[in-house]
Amino acid sequence: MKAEAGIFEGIIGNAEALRRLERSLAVGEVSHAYLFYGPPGVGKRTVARRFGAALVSGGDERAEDRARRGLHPDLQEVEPEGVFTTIGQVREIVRQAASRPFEGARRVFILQADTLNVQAANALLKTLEEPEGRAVFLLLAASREGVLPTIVSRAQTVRFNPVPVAEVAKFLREQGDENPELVAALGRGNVGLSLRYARETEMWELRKAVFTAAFSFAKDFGERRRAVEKIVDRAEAVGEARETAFLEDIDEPDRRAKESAKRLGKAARDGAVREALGLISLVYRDVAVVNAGAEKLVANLDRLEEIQDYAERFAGANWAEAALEVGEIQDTLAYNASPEAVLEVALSRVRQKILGAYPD
Amino acid sequence: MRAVCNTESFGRKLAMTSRGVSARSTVELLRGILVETGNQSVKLSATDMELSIQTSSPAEVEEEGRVVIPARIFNDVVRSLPKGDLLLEHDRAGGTVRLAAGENEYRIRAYAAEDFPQLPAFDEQNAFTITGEVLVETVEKVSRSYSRDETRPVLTGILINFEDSRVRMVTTDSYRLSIKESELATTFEGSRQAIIPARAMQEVSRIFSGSEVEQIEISLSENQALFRIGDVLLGTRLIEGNFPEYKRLLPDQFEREISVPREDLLETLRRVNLFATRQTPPVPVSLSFSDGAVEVVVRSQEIGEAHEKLPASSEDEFHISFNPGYLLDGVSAVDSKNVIFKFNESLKPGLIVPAADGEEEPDFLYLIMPMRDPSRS
Repeated sequence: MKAEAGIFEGIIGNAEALRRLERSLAVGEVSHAYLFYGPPGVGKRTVARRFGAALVSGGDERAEDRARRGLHPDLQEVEPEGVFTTIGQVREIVRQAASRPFEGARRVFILQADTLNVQAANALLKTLEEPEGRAVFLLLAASREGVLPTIVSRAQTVRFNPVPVAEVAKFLREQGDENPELVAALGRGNVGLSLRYARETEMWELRKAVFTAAFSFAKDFGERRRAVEKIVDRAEAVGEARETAFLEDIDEPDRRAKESAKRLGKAARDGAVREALGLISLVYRDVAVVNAGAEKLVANLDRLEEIQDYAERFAGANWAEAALEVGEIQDTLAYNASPEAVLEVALSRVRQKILGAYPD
Repeated sequence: MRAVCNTESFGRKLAMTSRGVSARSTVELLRGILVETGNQSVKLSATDMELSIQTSSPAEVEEEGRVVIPARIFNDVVRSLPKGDLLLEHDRAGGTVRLAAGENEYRIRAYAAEDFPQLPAFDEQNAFTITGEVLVETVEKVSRSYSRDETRPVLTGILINFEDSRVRMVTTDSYRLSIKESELATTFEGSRQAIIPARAMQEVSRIFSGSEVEQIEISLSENQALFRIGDVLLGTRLIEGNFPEYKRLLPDQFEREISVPREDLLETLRRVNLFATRQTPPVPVSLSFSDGAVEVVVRSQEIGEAHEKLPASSEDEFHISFNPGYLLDGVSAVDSKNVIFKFNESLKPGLIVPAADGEEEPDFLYLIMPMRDPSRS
């Protein structure tokens, strides 16, 4: 389901949540705090921007349009400084939240609730508890558990679900994408990720490297190491592309802009390593699916033959468990672990799992 | 847009407007000045999302238009130009503004005026007037005791109340409270109240001091307060929330009322405060009243002690201690020959007021919380 009209026009999925927000806007019963939670890439931020723009502009179309483009004084999006939204940032928000709107109907703050550390969250509590008038907080988080319970209990929670692959594919087809089914399947319900596969060649390069590594079962340790290095290279390329793209949007980047670019680049690289693990897991899942006779469910449609081939050769191996194993490693990916080490551990464990069924 | 103006006078207006620009914003457009043609003038506007400044400069308008120009480069260029005429021309197709002065020519990247925030408009109907001097003085009197702690935003503002041709301003940081009342230049029907950021009121005082006008016009809307000072319009967001009920903090009666010569006391406090080291909590200054005199003492463990004695109208013995900085603030805000202290008990708040002529109520009150004196307990 894609929203056809209204403030959420063009947003795919989560129709029920969007309807709820639209209804509260229509009847004017707006809560002073919302928590939008759900996996990445399902539209939380886009919805928050649109909803926030509608809240501050109070029906003035030109003001709403300005707000959507980040040019309205009463709608503010707070980006974490590095990993955390700091207490300094929260104090500034608290101060601003206590002043009347500049031109609009309300003041709206969008912040990532799962980046608030304990002190910052506590500094925000009082304002969330007793909002002075017309400030509305739109809090974003990947999960409810990632947010302090004291914050959750003061906000109206809105759950965002992964978007069904078929819906993403339909949307991509309408956009004129060449491989809508494949791109949608690779996103696994994450629309943002699907769009990246649709637009960024670096992501396809990363995926190529992942296939080489995923089926690198030779005894030779060096071969696996080279495959891992290739993945890390591709991940670096993703990071660099992000950094360049950010700087291109700025006329004369100052030191602060350059630092932001670096930070974004590093985050994109780390994200790409995480995605590589996700893809490896997806490849094994596909083999498991073929083994179970459900080829229709294969995500990597364009590599079906290769997947069938491995399914046949290692029919006795527990591919599903290998997929889970990699998925678990992805979940525990630590901030400072070297990507090479993490990938190598993942691949060697999988190798033992798959080849365990075939002792020499 | 195409307009010609005098470089010098335009430059002055531009510099003033630039003070309103948001320097920290990451959005280019918001670091710009909105330039609009008006009736024989060019209007300049800027905002940092809290304050807004709008003014205008005479100009020969050849073609109407509006455009946003980045403040810093605009200001820097105009400021360094020689005296003479300045042509401003918006090149829509090129997305630039052309500045031409004599043989010099500059092109500055410009932004669409439609994207600029909507600035508040002055509500002529409900405006009222106050003598600038009076407003500045009233702000100054209460400016010592607003809170610098931004975790309680309400206290960082000045509560301003307009009622029956009088204006009353109140500030408190929860250790002291200042109240000052003054006459408006015009009568005012009904009453209006708002909490205005102290910083904005200081900016009003600053602009007034640099102007040649006598009156300031004020309009209060739901969200904004606007001050018209000559051809400058300063707007500020109002602070939301409930100001403490200050009237309840003022005791109805006092057991003692003591008069002390103000100048002498000020000098004494300045000297003895040299012994009050900067520490938290601060070393208190103690006042020990006796029949006809007060002894002012500061005892610092690190530095030593200061004792001074002054005449006072006290009759019995009474001891009370204060934060030395806060006491000095209160005494210096009083402008009569004698300063009147009103006390109940040593650990109850005291009041500082000017000595009134006759039976009139004082127009300035400074309520101050005492400190516990460690050397006496």
